[in-house]
Amino acid sequence: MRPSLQVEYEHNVALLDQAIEMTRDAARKNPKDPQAAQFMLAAYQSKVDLLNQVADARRFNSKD
Amino acid sequence: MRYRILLIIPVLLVSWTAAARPGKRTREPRNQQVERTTAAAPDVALSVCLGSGSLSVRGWDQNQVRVRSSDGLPIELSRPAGASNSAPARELAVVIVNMLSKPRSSCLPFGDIELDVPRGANLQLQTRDADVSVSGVAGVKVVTQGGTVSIQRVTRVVDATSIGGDISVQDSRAAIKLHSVGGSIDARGVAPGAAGDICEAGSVGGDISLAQISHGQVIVGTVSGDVSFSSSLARGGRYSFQAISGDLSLSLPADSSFRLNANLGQGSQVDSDFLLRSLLSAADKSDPLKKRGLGVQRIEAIYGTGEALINLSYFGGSVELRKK
Repeated sequence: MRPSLQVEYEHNVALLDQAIEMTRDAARKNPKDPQAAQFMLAAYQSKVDLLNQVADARRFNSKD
Repeated sequence: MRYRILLIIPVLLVSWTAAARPGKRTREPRNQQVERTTAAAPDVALSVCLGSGSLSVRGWDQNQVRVRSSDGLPIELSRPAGASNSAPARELAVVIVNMLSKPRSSCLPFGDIELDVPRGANLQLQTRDADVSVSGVAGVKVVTQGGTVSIQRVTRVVDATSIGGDISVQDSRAAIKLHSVGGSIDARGVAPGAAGDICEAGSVGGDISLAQISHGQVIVGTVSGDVSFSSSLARGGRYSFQAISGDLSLSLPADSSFRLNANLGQGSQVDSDFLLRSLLSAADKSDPLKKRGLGVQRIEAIYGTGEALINLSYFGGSVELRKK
């Protein structure tokens, strides 16, 4: 992956990790609140999507 | 040792023979334009994979595909194995003829590629960091890592995905699905091409700007990008905005009529120019979770007769509803 893209990727992973931490904290404090859990799941899902996208990109680059 | 020499000599001979033949597979000099044209069906499916450079595709009023490369790359328009070469092509790929062992490589490493295609064409484009520009076709699917994507006047479907590149879509009547990790998304002047077409935009950190959106269903999701939506609302339209953080600005005509359902997390709040009437019962308002100031606060409100539905799910960040 190009260095500029690697920086972009790392920045966005950091954003996701921060989002996961915030929403996980809220879900832990409000275990009976389904919406708090939904926010946390959305954050985790976004990270899974990003990792899949980057894995696809790396596969593509390795074919060059 | 003698056996090793006996093995090396034929290998050298084959290599020398291949290098000495100046046939079609020889790479043309750089900066020389290469052009290929072939007859194609009006709805031809065309795929191009390009590493870096630029890729420009335009729809034209001819049932032909023409590809041009300004880098002297020995490109070809390739049909799938077994397809007839005499009939107009239903499926094509732009490939590079490789001098080395592989007869064809499916991905061009670099180049400035221009294509003219029938207006009904459906494109499948993939780039590493090549910029992509598409106009006047039926369908386009683009996957890029770092290239910018610019799409105009598409009539059926737009599907664009990027990691770092910005995505822009204008003046299209199509189902629209845009996703960028860190690049911005800008869609304006878009409408459904068929009943049920959705306009969908998502990002991780990239900002999303939507204007003049006529789709009956709009879905926007981001982790921490700012979202701006400026459009009138369709009667019966459904609009969904979700984010963990980042701000949302909805700019709507003063005579809009909508129902607002919002789930707002810690630190998120709604600031509205519209005088909203709450639909929550007194019991809902006195939910013990809200009283403690923890968890998610819920808003159910209406403005006008509530013809459109806006669903907000914001964990943090501010939400503004502004009158245009």
